Amino acid sequence: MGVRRFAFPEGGDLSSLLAGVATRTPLVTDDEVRVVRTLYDTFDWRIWGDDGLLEHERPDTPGGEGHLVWRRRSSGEVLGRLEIDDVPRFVTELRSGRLADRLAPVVDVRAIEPLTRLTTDRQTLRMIDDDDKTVARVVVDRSTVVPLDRPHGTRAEPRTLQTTIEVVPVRGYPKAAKELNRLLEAQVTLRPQAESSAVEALRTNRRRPGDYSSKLALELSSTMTASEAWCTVLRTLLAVMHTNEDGVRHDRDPEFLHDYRVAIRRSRSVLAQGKGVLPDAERRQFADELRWLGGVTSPVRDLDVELLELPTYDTSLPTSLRGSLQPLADWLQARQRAAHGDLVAALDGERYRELLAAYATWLDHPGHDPRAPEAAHPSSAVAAARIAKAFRRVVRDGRRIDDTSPPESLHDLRKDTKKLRYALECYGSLFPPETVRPIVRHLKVLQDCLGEFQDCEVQALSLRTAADALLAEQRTQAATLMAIGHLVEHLDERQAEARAAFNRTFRQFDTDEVGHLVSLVRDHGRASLAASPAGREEH
Amino acid sequence: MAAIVLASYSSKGGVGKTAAAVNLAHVAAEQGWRTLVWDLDPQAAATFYFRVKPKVKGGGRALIRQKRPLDDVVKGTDFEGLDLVPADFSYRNLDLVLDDTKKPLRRLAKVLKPIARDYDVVLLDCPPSISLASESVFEAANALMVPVIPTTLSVRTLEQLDDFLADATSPPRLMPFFSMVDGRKRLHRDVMEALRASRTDLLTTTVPATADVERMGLHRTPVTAQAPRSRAAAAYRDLWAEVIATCRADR
Repeated sequence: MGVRRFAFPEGGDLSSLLAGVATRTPLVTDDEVRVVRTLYDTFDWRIWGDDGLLEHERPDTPGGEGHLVWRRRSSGEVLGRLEIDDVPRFVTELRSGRLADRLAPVVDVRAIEPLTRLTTDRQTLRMIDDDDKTVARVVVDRSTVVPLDRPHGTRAEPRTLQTTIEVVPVRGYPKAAKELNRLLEAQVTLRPQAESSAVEALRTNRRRPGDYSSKLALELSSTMTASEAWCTVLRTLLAVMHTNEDGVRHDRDPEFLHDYRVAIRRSRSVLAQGKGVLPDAERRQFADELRWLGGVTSPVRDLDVELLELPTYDTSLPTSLRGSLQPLADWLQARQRAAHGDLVAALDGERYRELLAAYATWLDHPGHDPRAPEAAHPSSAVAAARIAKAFRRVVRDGRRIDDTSPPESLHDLRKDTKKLRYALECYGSLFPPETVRPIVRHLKVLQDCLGEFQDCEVQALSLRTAADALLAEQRTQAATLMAIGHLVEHLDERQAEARAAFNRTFRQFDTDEVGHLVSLVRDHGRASLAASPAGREEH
Repeated sequence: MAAIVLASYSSKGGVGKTAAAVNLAHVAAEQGWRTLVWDLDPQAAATFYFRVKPKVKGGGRALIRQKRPLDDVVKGTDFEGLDLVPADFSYRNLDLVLDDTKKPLRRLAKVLKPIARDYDVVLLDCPPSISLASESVFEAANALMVPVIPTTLSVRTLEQLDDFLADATSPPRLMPFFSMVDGRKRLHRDVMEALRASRTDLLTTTVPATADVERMGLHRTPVTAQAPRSRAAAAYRDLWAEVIATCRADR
């Protein structure tokens, strides 16, 4: 049995309503308390997306103890509580316990950030039995909200929210809550309200629940020309970069930079596949500039990845070596801070500013180029051709790999698969989802295998570099070097496993089924070209 | 991850077992641990403190034979995150009911298993005896919190428990602690000193004998809620910190 919620109309007489209810059933009124509530979520709403709400509640009294409370959004059920005054940026920094343990997989590496703050005057009336035991509660919340993420330079006006009356059942006493619900339902002034004041507060915020996801939300229309579609995709990706830029600059968590870099890589891939669609000179120029930008962000990302791996590294060590990676952690952190400083300097520089301005202008007015004959073709025709080409290349290069092939051949194949993946993600909305989704699903398995192969190599290499540097700086002890040696050995083993799994994984991708799905995409594109003015002209 | 199961246990009565269970449960819940107390003692003292009626539909038999899931009889207390499985007079026959089941020693653990997912901590308040029911508690619990009044008799019961558990294949961790301590009494001081010298498993926190704890029956509420700034409340908070740190280290 969940929480039932009612909305109380503005200007109504709350005290006489409650007094009326109290004549019908024994209610004890507790002292009204003022609670300051701050709502938290990750930038991409992982807690909200998991049907949760994370709220820090602190009584507005001297010495009042704060609690972090994690509730199910739909039922109000408390999933975890933790006595805590200051909420840290990362769940891993919460006092170790069940709340932290359970919330960690939901938010993963993302920071939990304050979204909005409410001040709630809370009146609790308790229904009691003949032992003075509380058997159900009526909670009246009158809240005002002050958005925390107001646009720069504007003043935040506190806003009064809907007064809510909640009937909160006590486990094992369903009849009591039913009785209270019955009494409140009979009040004509009350109407049922689905959302808690916390959710209402979120909705008044500048940021709306679910307004950002790292998944690309693109709906292209088949009536678009290729040029229009390409520019739409690139504008969307540029917007993703803008959205993440503040988080990158302030290093709010590693995912901002990750999403920012994915947007750059996708953009570069789309520009490369835009040959024949977009004016060539600018296309090449912006591709070069984005390559520069990608390169500028690489050092920080590489260090982020290593820092994120540290806890896993530590648990993979023999017990006697656990905890000996601290010098490595310190070294990585110092380098990460320095690299981040360089990155911010680049983002503050002239080159970046000019790139953004010129790129945005160009995407709005790309202009015409006789060397871009496919610009006016139907978007789906060109997209299908690009997907088919990227697929052919993956198959061709993959089939050439045997047990004697050098590691580079697998790295190159990984790049091919990325291009295919980006094409499917960026133009996929032009084709039936039942065709595109299974291709992505199969491709993902292959990418995971190739990713593991390369990640192990890159990580082992960085660990060797770190060991050399620590040794040269004479900042390390034997245990740290032994631990690093152990990790490198473990990574080499993992890489060998990924290599051994490659042939089988590739064969599972290179099947008639996947080939058939790609041919459906290609046929779809050919049909739309044939039906278009450009296609009829060619015939 | 399943809940940590703790039993407040002593074969001797009147040593502060229920007070420990009730107050530690309240402290745990206050700190955000989702906590369940199962009052296994037919005298129903913990149930009384939480103002819940000492009655379980179908009695202990229905729970032990899993005719009725534990989930069905849980009562929310007046404290957020703290629930109770009430006592029932029929629990006095728990030994007989257990004896009538297959693998009686594992039974309690089996009954707890489905509900242990919903809680972080399960506290069993046990009746004072060494019986089949106690043995089933020993199987189910990760640790036994054993209150010891610093007197010769109380120390003897602890030694009896040592002997008894010595035969067990995987005994729970023992966490004896001094309870109802009167620092003015010479005997209490001497016994504490001697016992600390002879065993390493004693918790460092001692719970004082205070009027606040005695008045719990009057207020029917944990002393940690009724008099949070009292010496007793502080002791229970320290005790909880020690207990939970030990349990987490064991995991």
